[in-house]
Amino acid sequence: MNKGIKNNSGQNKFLGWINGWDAYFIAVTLLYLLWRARVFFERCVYP
Amino acid sequence: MEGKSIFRTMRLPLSHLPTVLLIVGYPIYWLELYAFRAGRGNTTPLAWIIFCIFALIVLYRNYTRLVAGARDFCVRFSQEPLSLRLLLVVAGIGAGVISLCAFYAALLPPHLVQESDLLNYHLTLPRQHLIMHSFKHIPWSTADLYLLPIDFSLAPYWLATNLPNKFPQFLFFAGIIPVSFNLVRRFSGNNFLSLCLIVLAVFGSHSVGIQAGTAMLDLALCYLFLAALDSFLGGAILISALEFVFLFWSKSFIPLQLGLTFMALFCLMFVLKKWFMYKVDWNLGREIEAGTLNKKKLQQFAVLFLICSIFIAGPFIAKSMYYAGTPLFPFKVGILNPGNGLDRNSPQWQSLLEKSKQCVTTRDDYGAGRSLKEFIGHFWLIAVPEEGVNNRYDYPVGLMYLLFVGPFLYVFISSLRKKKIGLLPFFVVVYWLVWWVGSQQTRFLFIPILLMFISVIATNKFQSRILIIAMLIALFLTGLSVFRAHRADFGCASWEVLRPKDRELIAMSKTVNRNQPVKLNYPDVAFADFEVDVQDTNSVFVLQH
Repeated sequence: MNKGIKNNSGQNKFLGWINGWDAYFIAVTLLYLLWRARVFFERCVYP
Repeated sequence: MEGKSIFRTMRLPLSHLPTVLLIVGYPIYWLELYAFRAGRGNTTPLAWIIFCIFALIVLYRNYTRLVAGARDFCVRFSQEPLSLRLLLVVAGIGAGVISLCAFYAALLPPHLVQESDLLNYHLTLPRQHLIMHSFKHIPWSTADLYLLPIDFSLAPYWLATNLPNKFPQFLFFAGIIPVSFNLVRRFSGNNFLSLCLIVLAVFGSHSVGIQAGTAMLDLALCYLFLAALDSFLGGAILISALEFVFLFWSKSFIPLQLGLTFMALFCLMFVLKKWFMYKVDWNLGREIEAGTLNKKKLQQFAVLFLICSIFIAGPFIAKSMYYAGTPLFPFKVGILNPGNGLDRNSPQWQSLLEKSKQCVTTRDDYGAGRSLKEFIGHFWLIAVPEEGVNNRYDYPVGLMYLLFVGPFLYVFISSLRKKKIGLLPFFVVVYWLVWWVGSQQTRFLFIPILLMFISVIATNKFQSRILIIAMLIALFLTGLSVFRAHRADFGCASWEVLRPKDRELIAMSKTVNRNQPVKLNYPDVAFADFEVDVQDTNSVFVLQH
């Protein structure tokens, strides 16, 4: 398993836990969910 | 011995069983048409019986390997960390729910809105030919001049039950998973997590899920491409050629699309290899093993492809040339002047010209143009719904594609920088560009999207827990879509789900005069067990005659 960027200092553990590609996966998933939510609410408001 | 390898048919793995459906179904259809004549557009159960016997033999021959594989999976699964095992168990439950929904839907007769192509011609035309006991052109049907080898091969299965069924399509859906699994195993060096991820990626792909359990044939075409590649890599050249022939001649535009893709691919590779000293791999970082892509194998493949094409596509090409003056209707109608199937001054010929133009212009019904701005935007827009559940490219391909498109572009560009060409990723890029200038319908992106998953996953990079969680979200959303698509049918009997139009056709069969064609004004007559003559309609599927 790719454990992400190692952080020897022990500071900023959250950022140490995710690497660059994890940030991409999170961003894409959130954007997708927001888009789906927008389309869903639009459909509810203007059915 | 090299010569032996092309006939390794009896070493057919279980994952290639859907191919047997086609290999058995195609000759059986011709026997049903001219010899058996079961009557009323139905077929005997012979195709199903032969397929089941073949399936049992393959299962028996692969049983030991299957048990060993299952044991190996359990051992490797137990060695993974607990958190990962939990994630994989949740993924397995999600995949199971999708499979059950698809399986249930596949047991019902075709009736959904998205199954209109099957009702308009995939099923209707083989059935009408069976009723007429003839392969001659059905004068009212435009689609009768299309390439229909897959439709004819599956008709003996579809029409063997009281009401037409669509179960063979489910088998193709089921076949995609082990075939993708095999390809990842080859390219990833049998990496356990990569194998789990490809199964999760296929199940969680919205475009796959939305067709699973339905009568649409795009999953079958995707299966055939992946299976042909898997067979070729495994040295089963005959099976590979057969799978590729069925794919290549499945639709009129596919010979053009694949021909253009392969030509562009080989030209680009030749230039990059010869002039810029690029190194060619199968996938990124996976070298072509000695013997998997040598000249002799390619020659064998080409010869078998040509021979199989004569039998499988020949009748349809000849028919199209005779009646429409083109080998690939609806393209370039009248370009050849072979037989006199249709009088060039007749209204039917004028109608044929008009309908062929309509068929070709459907390529512009999707997307929103081909500008640079649209090109950049489509990478996002094909994935998401715009209004309701669909988008301008037909239906969304979903979150799973979005998760993989970024890593794919990254590894593709970085491999080019390192002067390496991965055959599969290169194919994905060229295929995608050809798709962009052709019909921009997302259902024609199955092959590159699944190859994208395979290419990225087989690199064994990007294997983070975050990715698995994101894939689980995609799986959940796909499961929701699959459930929503079929929930109205849950608990319904086959008869209850039929469209009112189809119930009328079944009722009519008790009273119609079978000595002459019954005049109707709609072409989706798959449930008619009598000969029809469709007239007075503007449908693109109906010719004036």
